[in-house]
Amino acid sequence: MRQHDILVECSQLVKEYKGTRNKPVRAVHDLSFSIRQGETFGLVGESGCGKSTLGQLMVRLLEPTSGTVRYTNFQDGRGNRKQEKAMRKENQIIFQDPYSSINPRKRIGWLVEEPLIIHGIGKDAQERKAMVCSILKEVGLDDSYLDRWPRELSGGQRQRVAIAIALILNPSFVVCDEVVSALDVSVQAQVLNLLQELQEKFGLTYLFISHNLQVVSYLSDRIGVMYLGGLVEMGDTEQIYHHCLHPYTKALFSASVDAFDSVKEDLLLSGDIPSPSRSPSGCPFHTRCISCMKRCIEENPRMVEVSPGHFCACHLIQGMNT
Amino acid sequence: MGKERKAILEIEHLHLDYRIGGRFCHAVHDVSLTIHSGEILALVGESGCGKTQTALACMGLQPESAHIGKGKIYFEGRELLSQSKQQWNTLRGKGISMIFQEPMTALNPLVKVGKQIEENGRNHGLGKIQARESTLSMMEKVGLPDVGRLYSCYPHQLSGGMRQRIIIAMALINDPPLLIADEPTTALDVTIQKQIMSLMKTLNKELGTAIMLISHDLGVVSHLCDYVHIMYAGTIVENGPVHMILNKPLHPYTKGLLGSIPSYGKKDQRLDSIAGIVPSLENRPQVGCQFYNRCTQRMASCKNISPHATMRDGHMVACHLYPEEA
Repeated sequence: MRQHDILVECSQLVKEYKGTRNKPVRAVHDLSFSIRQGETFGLVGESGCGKSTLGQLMVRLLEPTSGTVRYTNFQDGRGNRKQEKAMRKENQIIFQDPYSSINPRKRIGWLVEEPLIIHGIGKDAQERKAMVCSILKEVGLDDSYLDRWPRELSGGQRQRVAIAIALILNPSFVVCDEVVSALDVSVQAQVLNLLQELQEKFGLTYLFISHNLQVVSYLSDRIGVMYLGGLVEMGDTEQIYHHCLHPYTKALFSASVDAFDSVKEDLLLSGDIPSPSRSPSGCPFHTRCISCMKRCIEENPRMVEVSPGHFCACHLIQGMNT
Repeated sequence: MGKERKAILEIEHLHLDYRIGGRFCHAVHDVSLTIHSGEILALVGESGCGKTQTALACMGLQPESAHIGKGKIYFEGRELLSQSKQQWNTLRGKGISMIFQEPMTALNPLVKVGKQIEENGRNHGLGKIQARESTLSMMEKVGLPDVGRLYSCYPHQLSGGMRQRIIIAMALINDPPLLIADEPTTALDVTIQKQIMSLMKTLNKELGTAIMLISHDLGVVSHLCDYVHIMYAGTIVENGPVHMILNKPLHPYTKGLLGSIPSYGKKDQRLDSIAGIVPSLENRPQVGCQFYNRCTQRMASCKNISPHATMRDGHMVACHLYPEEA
């Protein structure tokens, strides 16, 4: 991995919440990875594994308990309000539910214009309006939407508005947090196509969070698999899709139902994901793993590079190497 | 196949309308389908296509404002729509059971889950001891561990997957011949979804319960069902055996639905999405094909003439591209 094309880098990121009886709940636990300029990094995992927390940490909507998020081509602006504002312009996030992420009492034109006003972009209202119209056109809406209310729009149109709001400041890094999971299949395909077009046009870098493996493997260049607050496997989409090593990744891909691909070995995971407030000892996955060994209960495996760019945290793989 | 099986549920030309702005709008328009015993049939379509409305009509649970204009529903040869309230009550939960989408909201949060399962048995004539016994055995059948303890748990103490299993146990305690499952796995994670799907398949095999599955996910459908009906804007546009629909779709809407599914194999190419959205009830065309506005292969005749269902390659399709053979 060349150092200079990295855009965002996390190292040893930890986010803890206060739980009951002062027991910390570890939402994200000792997580290190980096996202390259211009790529789509897909993040998959079951609900409750800390995907969204990680996404919000990466755009500094949440402060990490320890560890750092570093951006290579702009300041993170910690402690400096001016720099922090500049950082906010480069980082944007699109949320899952377009019904609750948009203010229902403001017109579309106002909503899309607001970031411009906050950041003091554009000389006057006229110029800002022109910018709003051009971004609306980019996301497949037109001028007639300027004076409409969010309630008049369908889910897909609202998500387009949310994308327009995120992109009007011309950011370099966009976190897409389950952006298509609230949409119908045909509309989901429209939004996925739109995200790809915009990425090519504006050279965007995406962190694409989803629990839908088909969507992630379709869109991403690299995939990270999360379980209980940590990454268990990471690599190119091809490596993960065809040669995944971690038992959890295998189970996840076997559980995902693909309409076109019915010949898959059946690995049925029993039980549910443990609560992050009572995470098990050793490897977090050992309670559900089919190939659990004695070592897994005692010792948490570290991430090792199995082949170039392909990382995996499992004692089975480490056992094979040493 | 080939063997003649008993029809459990027959829907004939069902019309379900809502009155909006002084005129009747069709939520379900001329839907006919048959479910045979032991079969798993799927109704597939986007939201707002009338899948749930069709299912609710079979249970007599459609909203007060809904108006069933024409059509008949037969369950084991008995006509349902002319039934009295009492007759509906004896049918629901015993003849036909239903599983709803949200396992979080379908259970009563103040009643122990065991009691909730038992209630359905008691309502249909099981004695106290008998009901408790069959509750526990049903809970075991749906794969719940440690049933004695779980019996007296409250819903908030259980995970989503376990709650969905409780609901399935509740639906099946009276051994109904037909189970209607309305998006049973949509709210669940992929690994849990897989567990629930294989459970439903096992129960279908072991108990012989016919299942009407409502889903928008063709992936789920392809793994679970024998027969598929594709619904669009209140009408059935295509139906046939699942492998036929997936491998040789005929209707442009079915093709669009399949083309919209992203997968690793389609990487580096755009998805063939369908432009636009499902029209809302009051904006649906009165005549002609409902899919006209979004169709890429529309012709002049599509606008004014409603297509009729025709048989093609072993499955039924309603589209002018496939005219009736002379």
